[in-house]
Amino acid sequence: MRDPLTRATPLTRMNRWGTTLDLVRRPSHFCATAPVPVASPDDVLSWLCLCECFAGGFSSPLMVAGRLTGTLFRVHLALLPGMPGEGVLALAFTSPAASEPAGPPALCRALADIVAADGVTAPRWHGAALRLRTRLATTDALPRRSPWHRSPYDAQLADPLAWAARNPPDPGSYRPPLAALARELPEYHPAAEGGR
Amino acid sequence: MREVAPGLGWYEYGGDVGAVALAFPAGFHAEGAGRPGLAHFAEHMLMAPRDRQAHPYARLEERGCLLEARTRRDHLTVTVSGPQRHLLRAVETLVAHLTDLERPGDTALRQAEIIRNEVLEKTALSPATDRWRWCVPTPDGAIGADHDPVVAPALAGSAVHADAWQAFLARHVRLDRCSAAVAADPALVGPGAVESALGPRTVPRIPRAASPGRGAQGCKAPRDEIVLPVRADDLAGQSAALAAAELAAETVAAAHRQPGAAVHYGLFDEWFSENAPTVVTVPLPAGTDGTAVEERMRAFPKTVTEPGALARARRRLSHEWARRLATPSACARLTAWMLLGGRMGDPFAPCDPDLVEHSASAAAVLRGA
Repeated sequence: MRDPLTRATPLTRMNRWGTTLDLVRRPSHFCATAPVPVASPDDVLSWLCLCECFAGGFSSPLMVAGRLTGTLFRVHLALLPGMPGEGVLALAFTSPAASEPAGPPALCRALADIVAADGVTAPRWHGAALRLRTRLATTDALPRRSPWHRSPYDAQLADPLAWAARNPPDPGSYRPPLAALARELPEYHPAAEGGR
Repeated sequence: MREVAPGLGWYEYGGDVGAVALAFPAGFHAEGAGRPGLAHFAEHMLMAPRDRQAHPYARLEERGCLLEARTRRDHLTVTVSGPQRHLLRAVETLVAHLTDLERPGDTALRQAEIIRNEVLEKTALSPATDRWRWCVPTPDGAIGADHDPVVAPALAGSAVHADAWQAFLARHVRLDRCSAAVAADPALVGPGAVESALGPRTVPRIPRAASPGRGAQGCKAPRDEIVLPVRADDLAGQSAALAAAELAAETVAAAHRQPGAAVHYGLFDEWFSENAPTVVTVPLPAGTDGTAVEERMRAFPKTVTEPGALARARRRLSHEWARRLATPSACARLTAWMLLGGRMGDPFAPCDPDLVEHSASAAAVLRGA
């Protein structure tokens, strides 16, 4: 289906939860991506857990900025399968004209706060790991030929609290890609594209 | 899948994660002909956090629980899933939230804008491409009439219902008149404790629409497809319609000489989630020779009576049904819907050949607009 404004064919990628992320930059749709290293199942779980921690629910800072205090419907922060040894961290959300003055700047501020913070507290990390296990158990099965069934993406989380204790979040790993997302977001303000 | 207490279905589910679903008769059908968008707006108001600390979400999320709601034609369903050892407390938290409809003063305007953004996101900023408008019936009227419960009212600003949502929820979202279902291990989550947390309830009978379902006359489909009206609302009737549609898909695949035509149930392809009359459709893949399909469909009622045909359809449907019951949240939701529709049981174990033939005889090929 072509976009009626840009006539471009949307580029979409499926996230771990079976929903697609629209990665095309266009008026009222924001997205930014950053490559991240993914070498082992624990790397995959760490990125999925960070996504859950930062954007998975109302206790997550991006969701708080986008939905609890803002009026965006959903802020997608997702790990997407990439080339061997590499994944893609993607941030995407739809912010139509009425939400635009407040939505994207609030998300940029929330990203900056995450990058500037000391790290993630243990209770927050444990809660994210528990929610990740719930999400893994309650999402529909992925298509058989999905790249998510390719090692190391077919990771399992049997004991979330033990896994969270063994794999604490590493600010040195997640700060650079999140900072890259924060830098990338304002660079293509839709108005500059003359879309509306 | 069984009813362990009046209005409480149970799906025994092992593992660490379980789910509880509550299905209320508060879908698009209940919103009334002049109030499109009210049910969806009421769902957002019902599920809105009650303060800046995101109560009750924050409390549920720290225990690993996820809360979601969806509004469909016949019901509004709230599902909480999470670690089974925390499920009972999650139900208690949810009950407290659902029974107190006080929300911060700016919630209605904010939710109206969120709904607008939701629609734009879900339709990829192209609301005109959405097909809900075409297939949602006006309450008590014929399908195809202009009652759009989601897209148009969201774009117009659903806050027009700011004065109506509380009365709507008070009337249609009641814990004593809903179906509840649990997908969990009864040894970990006691049915008695869940029953006590929810309180007693009777499952309401959703009023049946008077019209006999969408027919082929005067309809313009958004694409070429085969439509099979569901003639009976019970489990046997809906199962038979699905079996007939599965055989119609087989017919399409034969005419198209390629596999892959899929059966689509109702508005959202959620089996047994709608009350009769509803429809089962088989979209014709692009490039299908419509004339060849029409030719084959003329012989379709006889095709379904061929030896082995029904067994084939049942086998494929049972496989698909098992796939749809793969997660605890899906098990809880489907059980709640079947309970609300009065259709508890194994859907494809008995499949009445006469009902399948009856559904097949009403099949029609609709050509796209």
